[in-house]
Amino acid sequence: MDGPALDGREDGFSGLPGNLMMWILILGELAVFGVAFLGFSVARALDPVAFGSGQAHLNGPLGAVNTMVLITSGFIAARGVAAGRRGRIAGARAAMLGAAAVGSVFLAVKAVEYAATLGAGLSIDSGGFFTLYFLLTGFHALHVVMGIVVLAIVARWPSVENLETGAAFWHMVDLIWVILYPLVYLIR
Amino acid sequence: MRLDRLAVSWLILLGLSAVTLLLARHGGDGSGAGVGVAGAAALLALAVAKGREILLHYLELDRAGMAWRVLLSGYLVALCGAILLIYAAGSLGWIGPAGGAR
Repeated sequence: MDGPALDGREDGFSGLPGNLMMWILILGELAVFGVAFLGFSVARALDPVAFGSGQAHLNGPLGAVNTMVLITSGFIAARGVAAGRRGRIAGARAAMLGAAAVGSVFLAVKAVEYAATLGAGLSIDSGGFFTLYFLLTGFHALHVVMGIVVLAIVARWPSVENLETGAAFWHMVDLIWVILYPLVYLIR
Repeated sequence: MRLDRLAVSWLILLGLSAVTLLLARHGGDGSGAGVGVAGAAALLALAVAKGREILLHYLELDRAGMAWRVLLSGYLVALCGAILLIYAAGSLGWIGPAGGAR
């Protein structure tokens, strides 16, 4: 896993893949989602009964399927970065578009989930749990949409820095989901 | 296909997600593994394990400076730890309705 490609990427605050501006955005996003997750936790602790009955309407296994979708998409994007570093531009392009396509499955599953929730008469106005559920999952889904756009852009202009930058954003969306999923869907 | 570290990470993440799915299914009747402080701790530990794979191998922090690894792994552990602490405080009745509801 270690090798000559890693030269000069070892010390202190150095060696992040992609553009530094993207990492500033990533740190900001992680801070915002972190505060939102803590807010959700406090709201649940203050009203555990309403949160428990609200959560019982959600489809936990479907969320696990979406976790697998995102980590598979992230894997394909990471492969695309590796292909780009080896100069295999066509392979990098295909991987980024493939990652975007798999990422769109996440949105399709999310649409099925929202249709079921809204179909049961539960909307963003249906009390504290559903307000926070729609805000958190909707905000995250918006990042999935933005991530798919970013992946398409770096597939169009696949320099190594662009590939690394686009993939870094995509992995951040992935990281947020692996915390959001158990927090909102499973812990009761 | 050669199994490099990235592919190993992907397989680890799929495995951890499968374990999470099992907990999710067993928690469906309201009395399963996702319930209670221990259930929450197990689910959050799985989230930390997944997050670490993503940080170190997808986001390649294993190749970045030590400070980034400490900062972002620290964020992950601190956030999940705080979520667990708040959950436990609610369960034990320190905050929220008197006596808790679990």
